[in-house]
Amino acid sequence: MFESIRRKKGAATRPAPARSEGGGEEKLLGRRARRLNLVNQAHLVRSIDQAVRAGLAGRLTEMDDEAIAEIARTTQAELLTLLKAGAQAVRGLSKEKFLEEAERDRRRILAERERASEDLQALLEQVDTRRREMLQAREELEAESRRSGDAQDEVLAQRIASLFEEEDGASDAAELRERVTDLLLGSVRTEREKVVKAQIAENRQSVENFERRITKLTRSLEVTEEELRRMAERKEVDPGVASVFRTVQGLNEDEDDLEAKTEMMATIFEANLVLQKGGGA
Amino acid sequence: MSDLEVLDNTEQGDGGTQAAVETGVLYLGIDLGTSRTSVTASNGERVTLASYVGYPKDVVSRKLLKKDVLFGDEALQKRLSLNLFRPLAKGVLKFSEQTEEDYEGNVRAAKDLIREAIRLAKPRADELVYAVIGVPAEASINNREAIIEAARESVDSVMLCSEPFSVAYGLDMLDDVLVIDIGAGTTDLCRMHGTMPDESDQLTLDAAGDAVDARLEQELAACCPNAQFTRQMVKNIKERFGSVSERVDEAQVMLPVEGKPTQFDVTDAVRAACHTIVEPIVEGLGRLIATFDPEFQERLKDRVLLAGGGSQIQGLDKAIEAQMQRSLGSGRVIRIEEPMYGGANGALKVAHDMPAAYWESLR
Repeated sequence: MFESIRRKKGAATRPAPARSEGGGEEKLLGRRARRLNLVNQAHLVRSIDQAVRAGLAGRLTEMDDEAIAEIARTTQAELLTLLKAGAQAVRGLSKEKFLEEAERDRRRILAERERASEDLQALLEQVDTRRREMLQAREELEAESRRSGDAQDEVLAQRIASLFEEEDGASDAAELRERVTDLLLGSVRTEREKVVKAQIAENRQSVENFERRITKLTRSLEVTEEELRRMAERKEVDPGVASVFRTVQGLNEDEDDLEAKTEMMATIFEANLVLQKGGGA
Repeated sequence: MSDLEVLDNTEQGDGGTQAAVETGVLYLGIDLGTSRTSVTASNGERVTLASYVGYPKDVVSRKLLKKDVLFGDEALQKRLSLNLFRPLAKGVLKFSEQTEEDYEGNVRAAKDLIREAIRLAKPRADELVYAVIGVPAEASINNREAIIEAARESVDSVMLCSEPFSVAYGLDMLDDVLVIDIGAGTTDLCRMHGTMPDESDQLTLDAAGDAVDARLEQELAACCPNAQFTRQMVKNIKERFGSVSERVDEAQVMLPVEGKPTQFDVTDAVRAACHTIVEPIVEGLGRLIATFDPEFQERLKDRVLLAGGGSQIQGLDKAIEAQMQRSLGSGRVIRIEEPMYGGANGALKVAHDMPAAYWESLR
């Protein structure tokens, strides 16, 4: 690429405009853009006249020029009336109107953000409170369970012991008593743990629900922030100031020191080509 | 409007009678400096802003400032609420001897600064934007790549060129000229002799605006006992009173002493500080002159261009001439008309003169 440019350099000092190909236009307008063809009114009138004459010629050979011209005039007038009646007026939004609208949008989004922030804050506080409560409840529950469980175990063991004491003190009975006691205590403990787990799961479920709501609100807040950012960009929309150049320029052929400047431009380009594309292109 | 507009939903019917859509070309010349960034554009816009970029420190300051990023003097004024970046040290992106975080911050700040400078030039959305950025002659390859990367986001095609070269090119002084471009971070010297200057034609010195500030800080500490001041205050004093002339109005400044504004005469301190750059500059000029074709050395000494923000120091041209007389036997210094825009104007001219094919190749 670079070599070919170097070869061209000597031959043509004024390069062709850069954006002469269709690709640039497509990039500018987007693939789905529609084309707007402008038709001059005089051209349209002439075209109707020619079309009417062409249409009638050969069919109505006896009709004189005056009559054909009259038909063409009537057709022109009628067509223009119809077109004007059916045309839609297109008007751009004035900058003031645009800014007013942008300001209204901005205020609305700000209010939304404020609301979302407050909701989020309240929710975060609720979650904190709930977490603390849950921890406390869990600790209390476990402590209580231990206390009451120990007492219950003792009562139960005593009852079983007294029940067996009423029986004869046979050796196989003592063994039996021990086994029954273990069995009962194990069963009671299992039940207690189930209850505690169920309560903890319920609390966890509740916290998870809160967390999901928080995630949702945070996302909504992010969307609002993004919308605000876009609003801010829109508000700063400025059509800009047009450049005095419509096409890429280059050195003038009558420039002083043309040869030296051409060489300098090539050297700057070469250095930048190496820097930006590693020397190849 | 007498024309009747007809919206044709189909593709263009008669194959090419309609004129091609014309896209304008906006050329930008950018002088990306340590202290100031200047832009001139082919739409007539020209802007200069202090090379500072600030980001709100936290949510509270962001809410208060109502902005995500602040630039230039505004950023300086509100620096207490901001994480402030001066992304260019000695004219190039701050790089080495820094943490990764600092580097990332500087790159981000440089990108934002370039984007802002381009935005201030008011490009139209439908125009191609081609920019030439002036960088110090001795900017490293890493720095050049980082600046290119920063600019690419905002322009269609970008090229870098040596800052002092762009100053000379902008003034059409390409033959037997010595350029002194005094910036905040560096002073660039460049010898022009009708062709593109190479490395041996360019020198970069540290004797520049920041060095003057540092020296003035020392001088003030000595001549204004117990006075409190910051580097920014020192810079403001230099910009207001900067002079190397013997005959100047007294420079009286108010500086706080234990909270009370107190008046000080800083004339001599400012002169001494500003004078520190004269000798190194002339020494550099001497090196470039001595290695030039002896037949043209006199002509070279007679055509010394003084440019850059630092050239606004009053009497600097005469002081350099006097020092050249002493060290080199003769010398004539021409101060350029627009020190703040000299580099940007030259870069704009380079952009204009660059052939289309070159621009296209770098897109």
